[in-house]
Amino acid sequence: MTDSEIIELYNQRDERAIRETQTAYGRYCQKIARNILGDEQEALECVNETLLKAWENIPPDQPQILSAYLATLTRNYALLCYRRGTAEKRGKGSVPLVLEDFAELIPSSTNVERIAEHREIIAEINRYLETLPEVNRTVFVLRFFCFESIPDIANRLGLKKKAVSATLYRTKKQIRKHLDKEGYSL
Amino acid sequence: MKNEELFDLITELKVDDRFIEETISDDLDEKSPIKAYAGNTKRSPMRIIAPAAACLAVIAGAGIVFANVNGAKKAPVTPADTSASASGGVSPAVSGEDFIEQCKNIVAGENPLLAQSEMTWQTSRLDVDFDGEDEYLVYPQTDGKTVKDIGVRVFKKVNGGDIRDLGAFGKDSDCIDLNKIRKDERDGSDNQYYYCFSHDDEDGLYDGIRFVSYNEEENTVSDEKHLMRVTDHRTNNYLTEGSYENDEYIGSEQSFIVRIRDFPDDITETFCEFTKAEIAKCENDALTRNGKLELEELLTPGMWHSGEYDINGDGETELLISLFNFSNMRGVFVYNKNCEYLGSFETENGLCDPELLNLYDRDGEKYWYYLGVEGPTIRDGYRYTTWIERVSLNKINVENNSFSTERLIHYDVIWDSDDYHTHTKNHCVYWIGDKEVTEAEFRKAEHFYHTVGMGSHGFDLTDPIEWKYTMYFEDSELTGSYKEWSGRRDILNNLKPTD
Repeated sequence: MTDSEIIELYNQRDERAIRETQTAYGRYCQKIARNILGDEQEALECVNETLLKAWENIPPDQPQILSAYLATLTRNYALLCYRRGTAEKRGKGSVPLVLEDFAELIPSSTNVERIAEHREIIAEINRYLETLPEVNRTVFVLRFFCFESIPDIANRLGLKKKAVSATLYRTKKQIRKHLDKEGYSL
Repeated sequence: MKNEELFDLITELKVDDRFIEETISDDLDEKSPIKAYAGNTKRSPMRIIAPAAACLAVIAGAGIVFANVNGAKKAPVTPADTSASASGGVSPAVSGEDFIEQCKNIVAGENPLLAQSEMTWQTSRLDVDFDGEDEYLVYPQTDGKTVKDIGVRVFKKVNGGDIRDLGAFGKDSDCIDLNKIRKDERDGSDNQYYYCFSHDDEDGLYDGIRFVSYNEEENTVSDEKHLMRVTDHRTNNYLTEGSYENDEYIGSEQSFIVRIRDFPDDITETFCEFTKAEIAKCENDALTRNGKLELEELLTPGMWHSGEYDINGDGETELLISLFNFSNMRGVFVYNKNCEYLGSFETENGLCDPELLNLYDRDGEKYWYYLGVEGPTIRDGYRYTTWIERVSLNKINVENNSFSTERLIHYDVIWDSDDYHTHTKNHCVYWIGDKEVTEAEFRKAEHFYHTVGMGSHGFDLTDPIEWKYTMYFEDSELTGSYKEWSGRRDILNNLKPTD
């Protein structure tokens, strides 16, 4: 079933929409959730929540790219769960490592509180992503959006771990430099 | 920035939907989850492709960067073309007919099949070793193309008429035999010179030699006549554009360029514990241990390459010197800081010899060490090319018959891996081991990078008397060949375990 057909089911309030969504995107959403939460059961619950959110939000939402829409829902909810989680639970998943990586991307002198909108930085990052070669962008998204581990990224892309690390490093460095240049370093 | 702030920020990270889709689209298909960027989805460690094996030896041994060069579509090169080459020494009209005849006879004598085929002889003169005198180039051709298996043979007239065989361009591999070629410094510039060898991609026949100069500082190729893509392996820097699609070379011609590089000048004492004088002393010693070298080989810059590593774990840095000809690695010699010879790696198999072995037993177990390289494999045209990405030193535990995947030393050249061929900018990140280093540091360490050149798959030490080391080479995805290297088991048995 195509994305537009699935969305049409949502629009018609046809519950098959959920089943079709799960069939098409359940595994992939679960992967994102698992990356963040580090727990299969919680990841499953997260996917269920994602499906519920999709059901609640479509319509009025009419996602252009359903996969991206669901990925974002899953990610957001998983991060919310992670934030709510206990200290012990927070040790699971890739979040700590990804945060470490992410920290290297942001200019060290950046003071988030002094920047009116986080979104400015994010928008700037997005703009910069446009300019990157696809492989760099893919590694970036897998790491910082999907919270995937380096070995998983390497496996997925058919690259060596070292190459992924280097690509990631290079991308972070470039973005950081770009953010510096754009005045996000105070 | 605090973790909480970072968490906020990464939570806010709203990557464009297009990028998400682009990234995860493969995830949605269970059967094809891999998006291959590396140009080779089947890379396995220590995989070396046969046609490139000799090239690797060149890369590894001579400090020469071998690069796949994609020339723009160009007319076949004729001897007349090369007469205007940068060396200024080529002439289509060859004097010394008798000498030429002798050269032809040598080539024909080595290749009886030539007599049975329709071919013509081409001859040229070129001062390939820059000694001020032209050498004689002889190359049989069919249909205007030089026969690949023979390449362009180079002979030197010595003592008024004696023939010295200086080797061949393009023989046995797509690399130029640079054994006898020295860097041209006659023009006083910083340019480095390359011999380029081009061949028709479809039939594999060579069609000429080009000669270009390369200005490293400006990163330019000065030869206006020859629009060749030059890859500086070190900087991953393509000077001119190529044409590849899906890692497949598109076009009918393909050229190769070999870079002649001297030992880096900027090695500092802080990085290299061995001084140049000490290295030279060790090189001289290594020379005496290899009687196969000819004078011309010794005169060839880049013939020697060395690297430093505490190979025996004693806390002191050893100097590893490699000496190569251009079809075979000639071993890696190991010296301590006192320039004392500690042992060597075997010539062709990458294994260290027993003399050195005892020094390796850091953990009480017997090991042989294996030097290997691995790199991406790119299909370009009809054949495969491998660049070295990593040099590794692996342990072979003789008693346990096991091969350690631990890489004691390695470093990667990281490529922009979506397409090796089309990058025009320098995107190289330099690594030594797990540490990213500056380009300067990389350059200093780079010489080690060229110290080995063999690939391997598996080994068999099960035979009680004889043991075999099986080298596996592939020359394509479809065919492969095995080369076995055997040794006597009793050599191993005589090895002494160390504390």
